[in-house]
Formats: sequence, C-alpha cells, structure tokens
Amino acid sequence: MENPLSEKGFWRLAGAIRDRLCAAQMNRYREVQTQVQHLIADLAELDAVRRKFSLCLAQGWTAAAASLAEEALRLFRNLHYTGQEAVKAAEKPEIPVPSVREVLEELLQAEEEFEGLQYYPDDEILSVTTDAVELEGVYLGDFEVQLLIPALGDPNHRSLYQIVALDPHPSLRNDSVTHPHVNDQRLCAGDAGAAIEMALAGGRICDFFMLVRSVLTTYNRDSAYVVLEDWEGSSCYDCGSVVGEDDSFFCTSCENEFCGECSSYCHRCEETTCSGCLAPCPVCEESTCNSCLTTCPECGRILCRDCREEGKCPCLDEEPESEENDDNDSNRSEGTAAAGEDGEVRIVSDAPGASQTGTPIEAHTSEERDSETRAPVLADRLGETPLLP
Amino acid sequence: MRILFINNDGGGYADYVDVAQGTTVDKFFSQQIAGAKSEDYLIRVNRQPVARDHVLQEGDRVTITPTKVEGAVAA
Repeated sequence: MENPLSEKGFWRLAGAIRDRLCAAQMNRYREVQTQVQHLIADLAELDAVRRKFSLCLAQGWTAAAASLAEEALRLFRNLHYTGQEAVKAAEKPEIPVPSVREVLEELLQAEEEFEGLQYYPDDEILSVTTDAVELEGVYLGDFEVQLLIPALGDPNHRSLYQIVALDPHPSLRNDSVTHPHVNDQRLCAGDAGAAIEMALAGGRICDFFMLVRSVLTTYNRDSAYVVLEDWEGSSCYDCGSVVGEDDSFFCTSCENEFCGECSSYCHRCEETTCSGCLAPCPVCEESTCNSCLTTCPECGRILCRDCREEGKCPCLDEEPESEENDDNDSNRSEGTAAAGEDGEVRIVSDAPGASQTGTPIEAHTSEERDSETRAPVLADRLGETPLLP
Repeated sequence: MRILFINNDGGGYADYVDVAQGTTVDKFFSQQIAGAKSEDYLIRVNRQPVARDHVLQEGDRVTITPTKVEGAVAA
C-alpha cells in the first residue's frame, strides 16, 4: 500500500536507507577479509611444502622433492590468482556513507524533481514516476522507477530497482518488453550503468532516479530488446500482415520473417521454411527446402535427399538386369545396350515396353568397346559400386 | 576555491575540484564536460536549478547529469 511521506516519514526513510548503506559498506570490508583468509590458507599450504622440502633435501629423496616442486608450482599459481582477487577487493573505491540529513536532502530533491515520491512500506519500495515517454513516435506510457531499499545492503539481491510500466504499451513482439531497454521490469542501463551504481552506493537517491529517467527517455536502436520499427510487430515478408513474436516465423532459407499462413516446414530437415522456399520432391511429392534437394547421380533428376539415399529415383527402376546380360551371351538377343550419338547408353529390349534410356557412369561406343579387353561396366542401383562382369 | 563536483556523465564520481573565483556555471560546465552542450544536461547547484551566469561559491555542490543516456541489451 502506497504511503504518502510525512516529514517524520522522510526522516525515518532516510535513516533506513543510511542503515542499508552502512551494511553495504560492511559487506565490502567483509569481501576484503575473505580474500585475506584465502591468502593465509594458501600460505599455510606453502609452509607445509617448505617443511617437507627440508626433510627431502636432507635425506636426498629426489623423487619426493620433484613431487613437492610440482606442488609448490600449483600453490604459486593459486597465490597469484588469490592475490589478484584480493587486490581487486581492496581496490574498490571507498565511498563515504552519507549522513541521515544528506540522504534526507536527496529524498526531498527527488520529490521536487519528480513532483512526488511514493513509498510502499510493506515492500520497502521507494519510487518516482516519469512523465509519459514517447520515443520516435511510439507511445510507451509513463513508468514507475522502484528502488528496493532492502537490496541496497544486499550484494546477492537479484536487482536493486525495477521499472514498472503504469500505462503499458508493450511491444507486440514480446509483451515483457515495455520499453526498448526494459525487459521483465529490468532496465539495461547501458552507458548509465556505472553512474547509477555509484549514485546508489553513495546514497545519491535523486541522482539515481534522474539517471534512470535519462535512459528511459533515450532510444539506442543498436542495442534494444525490440527496435521501435518492430514495436507493433513485424510484417510478414510475403503477405504483409503484422504479427507478434509468437506468430512470426523465420525462414531459414531466405532469412525473412513470415506469418503462420505463409510459412511451413521442410518435411526432410523439419526446419521452418516459407512456402516460397519449398518445392515438392518429384518422387515422394513431400515439401522440401533447397538444402534438402539434391540430384540423382544417375540421371541428374532433382529429388529429395531421402529419396536419393533410398534409391527411389525412377531411373534406377529403368536399368536392365546387368548380370544376366553380361553373364549370358544368349540373353543379349533379348536386351542389348547400344550407344547413341552422344554416348548415352540406350537399353533395348524385345520385351514389350522395355525400351528405356539411362545414363550409366561409363558409356561406350561400339568402337571403344572393341578396343577394351573387358566388358562395359554398368553402375549398380546407387551408381556407386560398378558391377563387374 | 573548492567545490564538490558530482559528475553523473560516465563513471559518476564525486570529487572536490578547485575553481577560480567568479567562475560561472556555464564556464564550469565547459571546463568539466568538454565538447558537450549544456542543454543536454541537468545542472544543479546545491540541489537547485540555476541560471547559466550563476557564479559559483566556495563549498558549492554541483551536480551534472546527462538527460540522454543510451541504454543497452544485457550482455
């Protein structure tokens, strides 16, 4: 429940904020203390190695000394890392904790700058409200910037503040994005990140609110959760209808966005593909994307990869029983291979309807055949393993 | 004379700086935020908005906050 702040309430709130800032400062010191403890633990291990070294060297135990040297190296590396972490912790700038009066002045300034300051005592949330924000003609409404007072002194808190849209106009593409730089009530402060952190650490509450407002009233197209051009959803590349993110489909072939009506999927790889990038396989007639279409090595016919691998190209059914032809000369009278002018082998059979055309891997004219010592080679069904006579 | 300068442009550090007697807010701004336009910033002296020609006094607290800061998508 929102509570208008009385003069006494302002003082009490300023005191609470100061207490949290003192806790945050203690946490910084605790971090340094933890690093000191890590260093001492590493040094204790190193001292144990030193004592063992003395014994090994006195006794002439070279194998044990070599093992200790490895152990020492590991500890040196640990020390190096722990030392760096300790320096980082101790190097953090000392930010003086403001007095209660200084925090109070911040609160009063914030009340003046934003024409009001709200406080929710149950959740210990302090907030201000921005004017309605409109960026590049897109109306986004007003926002409440909520500072979570308990989070000020808690380094593990998920978020110190949140941005609540009071008159939400979220993107059609993603309804948790209420502002190009706000997702799920969390602001990605970008260039203001460091300044906001410093303002909160120093108890400069008004500066914090003003910085957040500056981010909310600025648009950075290059780093937005949803760009303003697509705020009302994206238009289908094919039919032009406007759709939200959940109803928008990305074609992996042409890399455009389509509505549900204009998109489908490849029955081979199951990737989302627009209707324009799909073609039916001439053999199985399933819709197939360009990546899954291939050519038959026998006849050059376009077909899907599955049909090719399964040897379903119609040309394979048209091949003669080559073993019978090659093994039994008497059968040649029933079906013979004759080379055409272009070297294409034509299967000629006496059987009704058996005259077929194919393109074997090797095609020979009669002259070539005469010059070779072996019989012509015909490919098997997949065109990979030649069937030798 | 010394004044407390809180620069919310960039790192957001607060520090004491020495300025010459009679320095106006406008001059102080151009000294501290080089190459920027003062209309893109909120300038407060002792938490109050002041005119460009306001002359700074010893011990003043000056805050300069940009009004346009680019946000970003979380990394």
